[in-house]
Amino acid sequence: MMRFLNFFLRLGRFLLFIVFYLKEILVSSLFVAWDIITPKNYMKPGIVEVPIDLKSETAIIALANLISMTPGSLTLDMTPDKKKMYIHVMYLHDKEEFIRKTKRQIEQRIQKIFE
Amino acid sequence: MMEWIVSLLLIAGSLFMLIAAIGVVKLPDVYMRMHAITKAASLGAILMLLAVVLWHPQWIVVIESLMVVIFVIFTAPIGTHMIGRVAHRMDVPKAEGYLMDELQDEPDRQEAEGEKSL
Amino acid sequence: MEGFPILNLAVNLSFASLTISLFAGLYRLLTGPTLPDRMVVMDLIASLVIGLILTYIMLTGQTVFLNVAVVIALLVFMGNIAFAKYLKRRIE
Repeated sequence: MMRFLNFFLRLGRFLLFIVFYLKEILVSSLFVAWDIITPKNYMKPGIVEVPIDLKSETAIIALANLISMTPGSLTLDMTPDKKKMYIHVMYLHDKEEFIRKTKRQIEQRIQKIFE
Repeated sequence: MMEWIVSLLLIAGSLFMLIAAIGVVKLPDVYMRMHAITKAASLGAILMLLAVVLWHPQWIVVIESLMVVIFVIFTAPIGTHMIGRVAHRMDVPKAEGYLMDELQDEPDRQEAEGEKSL
Repeated sequence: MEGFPILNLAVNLSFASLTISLFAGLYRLLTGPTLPDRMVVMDLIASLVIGLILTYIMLTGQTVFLNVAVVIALLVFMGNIAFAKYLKRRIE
């Protein structure tokens, strides 16, 4: 009985995660589309190193995919010991603030779902 | 009514694909072109699939569309990730105005990238 | 398809914009300075072909063609990975 309950809890969280993922795709597409169709561009690109605390591989894959799907960021590479991730950012105004926002908005959410 | 919704979805999807193509022509280097493709093209595919599902509401259509959506939204980021990683290792020239490149500055870059994986 | 004038117009507009996108992709494919540029364009062209198939389904009502879209969505992912591996081997 408890196992059934646990399963449905995880399933519900996973479905919520899918909804969140679709919302991120919508927002980021509108963001990128607006930047492409307006002639003036405000790009300040850069490649940033972000430390990550996740342990399981599934969670890391989900994190990498979700970072690629959020507006203006794209996962490029990762160290073999899974401690650091290199992210290409399109609108880099403040490095510390970007790292803080990524960790708060995405990493903690994934930690709650997968671990 | 349904006809209007389906038409709007179809046009919106193809417009997003058009925007992705314009971005590929216009943006200055490989990494930014990948930004345009991952996001705009997958949203375009999702919208057009939604149009097909609404116009032909049968079980087989719904299931196959779900398969396409899952393949597109879960494999597009992985594909771009691998292309971007190989591009950075090939030292593809970057555009003007990069604020920082910490992957380039990494002292043991060869070691960090030369491991198995990929 | 007969008796739905607005949908007919939408399908035609969609075909037009997808065709323009294909030509834009072709331009980048021919002039792209490096090999990763061309790989990125191949990814875009696969998305465009999926869009063309979906528009064709709306035009004819033949939903069997969805199978083609499934196969293309899978094959493109495999193609990307194979290409990335090949390039990685060539660097070393």
